[in-house]
Amino acid sequence: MEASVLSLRGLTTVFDLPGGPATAVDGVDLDLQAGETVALVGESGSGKTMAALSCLGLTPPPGRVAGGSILFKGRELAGLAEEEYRRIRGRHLSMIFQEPMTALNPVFTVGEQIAEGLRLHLGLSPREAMERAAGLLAEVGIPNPARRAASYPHELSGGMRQRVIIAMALACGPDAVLADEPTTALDVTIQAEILDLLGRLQDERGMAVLLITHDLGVVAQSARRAAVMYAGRVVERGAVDDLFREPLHPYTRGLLTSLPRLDAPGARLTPIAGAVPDIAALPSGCHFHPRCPHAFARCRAEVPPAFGDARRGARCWLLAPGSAA
Amino acid sequence: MSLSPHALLARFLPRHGLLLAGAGIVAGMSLLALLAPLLAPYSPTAINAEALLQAPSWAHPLGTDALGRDVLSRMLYGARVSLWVGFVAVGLSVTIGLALGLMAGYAGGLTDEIVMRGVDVILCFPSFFLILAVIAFLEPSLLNIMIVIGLTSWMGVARLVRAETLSLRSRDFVLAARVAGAGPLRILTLHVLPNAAAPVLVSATLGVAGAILVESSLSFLGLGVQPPMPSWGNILMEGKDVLEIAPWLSFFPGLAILLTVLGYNLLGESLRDVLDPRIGR
Repeated sequence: MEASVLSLRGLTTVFDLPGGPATAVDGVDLDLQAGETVALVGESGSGKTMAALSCLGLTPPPGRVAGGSILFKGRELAGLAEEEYRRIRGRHLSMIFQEPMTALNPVFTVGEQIAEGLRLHLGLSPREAMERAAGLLAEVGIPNPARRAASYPHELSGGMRQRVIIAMALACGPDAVLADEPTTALDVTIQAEILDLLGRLQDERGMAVLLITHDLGVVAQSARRAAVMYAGRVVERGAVDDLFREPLHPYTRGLLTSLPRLDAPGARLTPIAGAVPDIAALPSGCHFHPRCPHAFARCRAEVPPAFGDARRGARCWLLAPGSAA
Repeated sequence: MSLSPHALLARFLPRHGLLLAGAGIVAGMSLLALLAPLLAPYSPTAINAEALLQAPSWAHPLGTDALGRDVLSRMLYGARVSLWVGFVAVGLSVTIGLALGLMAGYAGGLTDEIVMRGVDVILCFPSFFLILAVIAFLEPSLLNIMIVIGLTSWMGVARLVRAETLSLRSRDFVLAARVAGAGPLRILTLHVLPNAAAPVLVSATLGVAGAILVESSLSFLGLGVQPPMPSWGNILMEGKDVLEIAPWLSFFPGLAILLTVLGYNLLGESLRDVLDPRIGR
């Protein structure tokens, strides 16, 4: 097995709230290899964005990485000094943001914003950086790039802005990109274009992509492997095909049965009862037990370990050897 | 989309009439102050014992004062003092307010707490009496007046900038800049400050009006600009003793203060409306 570009072991991020610490990311293990796309799936509030921000050392206060290791190209990032981190961010490890409306500064042209990282990391002159920025705009499929580089964000459509954000993230040729819901704010047709673009750029550059999404359609379209997060924990991991065909965790099963299917028209959708718990008041044991149709006594009392191996497994007592269910 | 200049004006005028009026007054006053040496018919300090307290005439369009000095000339030079005080004092208060507001808003936590409680404490002092007290101890020179007004008027700007910074720092584009590897100084000057510029500009414009009023009041009380250097405030003060026999000596500087303050306030208020799309027309 190839060495991972990004490898998380037991990543834990805690928010020190006035009422006591709240765990947003709880012991997440994840491996991302060069050139591959891994999906991190979960509902809003499951901790997937916080996991990504933790990798970049950008947890918003009062949040902090409280434990675990973030190994990036063999280097430990957890606990790294801010100055060191600044040299890695954008240059080697980058992020694509969800909201094309808010992730661009309204008072600068898009060219200037793409050029910022190039000037900071590669020491390019303003002129060289602007030329490179126009080149990047062409690469992300924006017509008339030299003129578009002088446009302000409000002059571009949502899809164009998302392309600009991708160009910004890829400007310095990072080894890994954390894409946080890169298509959520877009129309379905534009979504497909952006995913194709991301896939193409990834193939050309051989970079790793962690695709953070709540959309199983996006997962099926783009990723080979996926990890499902619930209330800060990775509850199931595996190849996307296996995950869809034979989900091990009741939560994954719930996500799949709440989607309409083309191969079973007329079948009733089964939503998951209840709502995502508040991280300040998480249920005991397996965090999913109050919503789980199969929950039994042990689920309430003990945290299930990760059954299976690093490639395929789930955190559910149903998988325990000799389980009653 | 090309409109004739006339049509453009017809579209612009009804919406921005107040903006134009304010800008016109401000521009006019600034021009008069700048060109004072060219426009003034006499020296502002030349005493003429043969023309004491003369009513406005062709020789002295705004009359003369108790020492026979030409009021028009003194008013023109007084405009320089007023505008100079306004700009320098506001420049100082905006600089302090920006620095502290950005720092408090971006750093948050204890820094924020200390700076903002400091603002609260300073706001507890009635600022005009604070200025009076300080000026009474220091020499009432033009420089001291500008500095004291600046040092006692930055709190509003600091609060404004802190609030803007708080809302801007959590925006995705600031996070994106951090992901791109930008440090705090770069983020503050490049990403936060330009986005907070509009309200600061409005506040600075209104601040000029306030500073001019304070300077006039100080000069009127004799603690501001010292004679023989003319300022609207001290012309007004000299006029109050002879109000019944030479009302022009009070009327014209009063009118000038009123017009200038009105001009800056109109400009500031309408800039706010133009720059802030949330306020409906």
